[in-house]
Formats: sequence, C-alpha cells, structure tokens
Amino acid sequence: MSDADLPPELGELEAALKASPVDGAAPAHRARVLGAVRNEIAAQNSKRPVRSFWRFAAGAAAALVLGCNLAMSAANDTSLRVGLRSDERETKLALARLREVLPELSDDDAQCHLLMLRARSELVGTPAPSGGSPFNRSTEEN
Amino acid sequence: MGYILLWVESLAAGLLLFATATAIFAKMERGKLRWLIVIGAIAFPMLIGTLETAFSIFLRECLFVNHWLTYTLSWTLVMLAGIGAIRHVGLRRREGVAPASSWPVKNLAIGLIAASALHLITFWNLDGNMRLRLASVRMEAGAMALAAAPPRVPDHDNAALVYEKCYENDVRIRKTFEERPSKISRSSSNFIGFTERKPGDPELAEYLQQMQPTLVLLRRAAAMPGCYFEHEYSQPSIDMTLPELSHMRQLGRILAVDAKVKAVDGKFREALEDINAMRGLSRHVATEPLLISGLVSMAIENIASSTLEAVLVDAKPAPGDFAGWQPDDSFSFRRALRRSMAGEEACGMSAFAMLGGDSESETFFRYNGLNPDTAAPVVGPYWRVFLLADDLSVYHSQMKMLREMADQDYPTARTNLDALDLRHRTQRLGLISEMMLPMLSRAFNTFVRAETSHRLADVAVAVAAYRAKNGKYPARPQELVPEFIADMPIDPYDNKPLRMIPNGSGVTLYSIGEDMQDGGGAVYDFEHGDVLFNIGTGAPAQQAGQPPQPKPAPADKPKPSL
Repeated sequence: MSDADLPPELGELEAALKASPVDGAAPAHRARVLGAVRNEIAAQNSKRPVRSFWRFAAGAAAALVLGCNLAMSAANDTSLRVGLRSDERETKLALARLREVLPELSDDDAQCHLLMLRARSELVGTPAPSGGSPFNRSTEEN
Repeated sequence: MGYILLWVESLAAGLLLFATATAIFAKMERGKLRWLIVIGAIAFPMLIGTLETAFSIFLRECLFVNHWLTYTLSWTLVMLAGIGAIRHVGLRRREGVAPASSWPVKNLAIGLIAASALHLITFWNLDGNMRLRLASVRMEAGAMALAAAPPRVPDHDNAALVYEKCYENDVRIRKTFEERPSKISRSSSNFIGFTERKPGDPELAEYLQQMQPTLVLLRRAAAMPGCYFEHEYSQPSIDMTLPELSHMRQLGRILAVDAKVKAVDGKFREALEDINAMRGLSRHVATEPLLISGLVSMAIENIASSTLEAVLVDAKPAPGDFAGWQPDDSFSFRRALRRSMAGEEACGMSAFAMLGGDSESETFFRYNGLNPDTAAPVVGPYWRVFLLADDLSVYHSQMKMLREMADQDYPTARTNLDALDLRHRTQRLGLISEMMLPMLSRAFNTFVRAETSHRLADVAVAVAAYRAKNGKYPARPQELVPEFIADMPIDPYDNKPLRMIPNGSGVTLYSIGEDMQDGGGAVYDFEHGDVLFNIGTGAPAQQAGQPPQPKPAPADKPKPSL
C-alpha cells in the first residue's frame, strides 16, 4: 500500500510522524500498523451489507405485522351494508299506531316497545313456522 | 387475553412516552419547554389512568361490575411505579451528567408510536370480535323468536280470517256514517263517538243495527279454537302486528257498546254473549308472543270486565240467560305472560345486536341523554369492548328471573320482583338492560291484575245467575259451588279463594290486590287496595265498596266472608 492509498487522517498521522523530531519507528512497526488498519477496513467493508440487510428485514417484518393487524381490523370493521336500516318515517308511523293501540302507555314504555318492535324487524330471517313450537303446542293442549 | 394485551400495550405506550420525554428533558440544557414536556408526559397517562379508575369505581358502585376496578387500578399503580423508576434511572446525575441524555430519542419515539399503534389495533380487533358476538346474538334471537312464534292454524279453525272480515265490514259501515254531516261521523274515525254515546242514541242504534250480521260473525270467531294472522315471520316489519291489534281492540269496543245497549234493551243473554266474545277476542290476541299483544289482550279483558259490571248494575236477567256463558278455564294470563316473555327476550337480544351496531344506535344514545353524533363513535366501541358482555349477562339473568316469575305464585314472585325493583332503583342494571327490564317488570303486575279481573268476572256471572234463580244474592261464596261455578276461583295474590262481602243492596267481590293486604274491599289507587267487582250496588268498578281511607291495621282487618 502506498501513502496515497491511506485514509486522509492516517495520511496526516503519517506526515506528522514523519515530521516529528523523534527517532523513526522501526520499519517493522510501520508495516504492522498499516496491516492492522488494512484488516480493519476490510472487516468493516465486509460486515456493512450484512448488518443493513438484517436491519431492513427487521423493519419490514415489524411493518408486516402491523400491516396484517391493521388489515384484519379494517376488514372486520367494513360495513357490508347487509343489514336493513329502518326508515325514520316507518318508525314514526309505528309509534303513532302503537299510541292508537295502547293509549294508556307511558312515553318511556312506548319508546321501549317501539325499540322492541324495531329490534324484532331486525331479526335474522327465519323460515315461516308451519307446525309451531313445542312451547305453543303444549299451551294449546292445555 | 385481549384485555391483558390491552393492559400491557397501553402501559408500554405510557412508559415509552415518559422515557422519551425524560430523554428530551435531559438533553435540553435549560428552558421552560423542557419542564412542560416532562409534566405533560406524566400528566397524560396519569390522567387517563385516573379517569379509567374513576369510571371503574362508578361501574362497581352502579353496575356491580367489579373486575374493571382491579384492571384500571393495577394499571395506574404500575404506571406510577414505572414513572418513578424511569425518573430515578434517567435523571439521577452521575459525574454531573444525567444518563437519560444518552438515551436514543428517535428509537424511543419509534417505540412509542409502535406501542400506541399496537394498542389501537388490539382495541379495534376486540371491537371487531364483539361485533361478531353481536351477530351470533342476533342469530340466537332469531331462533328464539321462531321457537316462540304462534302455531299455524287451519283456515277452518282460524278466527283471524273472520276477524279481518268483521273489521272490513265495520270500516265499510262506518264510512257511510262518515259521509253524513253529523256528530257521529266526525268522531267515528277513532270510535270515541260510539263509545261515548248513551244507549238509546238513534245513530248508535242504527249503526249497531247495521253491524248485527258482523257481530254474529264476531261472536262465532271469538269461539273458534285458534287465531293466526298471516305474517311474514321470515321478514318481520316494525309494525307487523300493530294493525291487527288496533282492529281487535276496536272490535272489542264495538262488542262492549253492543252489550250495554242489549242490556238496556233487556236482552241480557245477548249482552252476555258479547262479553263472552270479548274474552275470546282477548284470548286470541294473547296468542302473539309479544308484550304489546299481551297488553292489548289485557286491555280488551278489562273492557269486558267493566262492561260486565255495567251490564249487571241494571239488568234483571232470567235464569236461562246464562246458558250461553262459557268460562274459559284453559286460558291463563300467566301463560300468556310467559309466552310474551319468550318473544320479548328474543326482541331484546335483537335490540342488543341492533343498538351495538353503529347505524342503529341513535335510539340508545338519545334515550341515555347523549348526542348520537358525538357519542356514537366513542361510546359505541367502548361500550362494546368493555361493557357489552356484562350488559348481556345481566339481561339474560334478569329475563330468566322474569320467566321464572311467570310460573311462580304471586307472593313468591312478588318477593323476587321487589328484589329486582330494589336492584333497579339502587344500581344500574346495564345500559341496555336498564331500558328494557323496568317495562317488563311493570308488565308482570299488569298481567296478574288482568288474571284477577278475569276470575272476578267468572264469579260475578255465577253470583248473577244465583240471584236470577233464587231472587237474592248468596250469603256465602260456597253457595255458588257447584251449581253456578265449578269451583271458587283462587285469588292470584294470596292463593286463597276470592272474597265476597255484602255491599248495600248487592255484593262486592274482591281480590286483595298488589299490596297483598286484605282491605275488606277498599280501593286507594291502581297499585294499592283491593281489586273489586261490584254487583247490584249501582256503583261502577273501583269506586264502590269502602271509600279511600287509611288501611286498617292487620288486627282490625274486617273478616272476609270466606
């Protein structure tokens, strides 16, 4: 390795050593220092790509985990618009009819009954009963 | 597991926030900003922790939901300890330098963002899980509603078809009156005009005359064994049952008016047939497993009882007039209540699913005094994740209790009902349960009262028949058995036979009523005092007997005749 190949700071160190009034180092010493520096630079150059790869992989994995969670959450929270939303006008009409049928109901009870009727209209579609339930059958027999 | 994850993630986010602030604080040499940063970093998580702990104390006190207090209190304490430890490690100066000054702020900030994101995602996933749970609750509600649906009735036994025809006839006839420029036309749309008119009114007489063929049909329908209105049970609409309930109540009113007119005209037998038909109507309405149907059924039953009482005031029936009276022992309001509760539980579970969804939560928020636009995005997910499971559990247990009450005798059921009522007044039952259960427990009392009126009416007819045959009222109820009534009906309130006392020229039949104290036939208000049925006293129901006065002490109670 020539002096021109040295990093600037080592070049400066080399120049300073040369200019120093002390006796020059042993010729073997210079070779040892330069060899150690060369090894260190080589080691650094060989490790850098490996470390940056793992750092990237860890970041990507973290992003993937977060992204998977986010995607699952968002997918579960998607409104598929399969439910029927009751019409406001229909609700008011039902309340008026309820009042007509049971005028003695208090306001709170009327609202609760209306809520139940709305809930009933939201029931999952079930097949029309043909034979009735055992519950009702026993009642009829009684 | 999800809640533990939430606990850990939120704690990590809070501690990372404080560590980041501590590192910034240590790096900044001077300035007020650094104090603001560190105070803010302490205050933010501690404020959240304190609020959550306060809310969980509220839950424990009001909802008796205990586990959230441990959850939030432990979070707050661990957060406090963590803040203390970070402060000790990071800001305790060694050789004039705080160790926190060498902490990597960027890495801490990235960790904070990651922990916060994970926390929010976990919360979001839990919310999604609860939505799935609500969907299964909705499915369960559908199955329950199907199980409680009324049995289909063959057309030749189905009174509903005849009722529909009767109502069509009524509408057609009333329309002819509406076209006339008279008082009856203007008020006939809700039939008040007819019910307020006195017997002898020429227009009323004309209307009833035109209705006679329909009334014959109506009496026949009321005697039929089954009643099944064709509904789209697979896709129920919000007002599916309301039109028919309205029609049935109106038909009941027509029968009541006809019965009163018939009684004045001396046609006691036909009047009694009308009242019997009203009771049949009531029985048919109660077939639908819905509380509203039960309430309408009871309303018709009450009209029948008050009509019978009015008819018995002036009528002088002959012994043969009672031949058509057929007490229906097979019908029980308690059974109707049990059926209604089954249907109502299905509706209630569907209400949970409905109100748990974002789109239909408006009613729920308005009921609780919250602005739906601002409350729904915040309270909705929070309620679903932290409170829904408890709310649903309370609802199930309370409905189970109410269903059991329908099978219990009144004193036992009353004890349970009082406990339920006390719990309702002293604690909140759950946000949605709070809305529904008081209405259901009130309905329980109304059903028992209707059952009492039904039984009193049976005894009243037996007493009237006794008088028609013997020319005097019975001195003791036992004289009615078995010729006039198979057995003396039991008072639902105390499981003893219904009471009878002489009252002026007639007699008063009574039940001890909801307060379960024998007042000797005294009435105070709807909830206090006895339930009366006066015969031959010339006074309408609930006004005769002894005037309202303080209840006698148990020792001074008048001795009932039984």
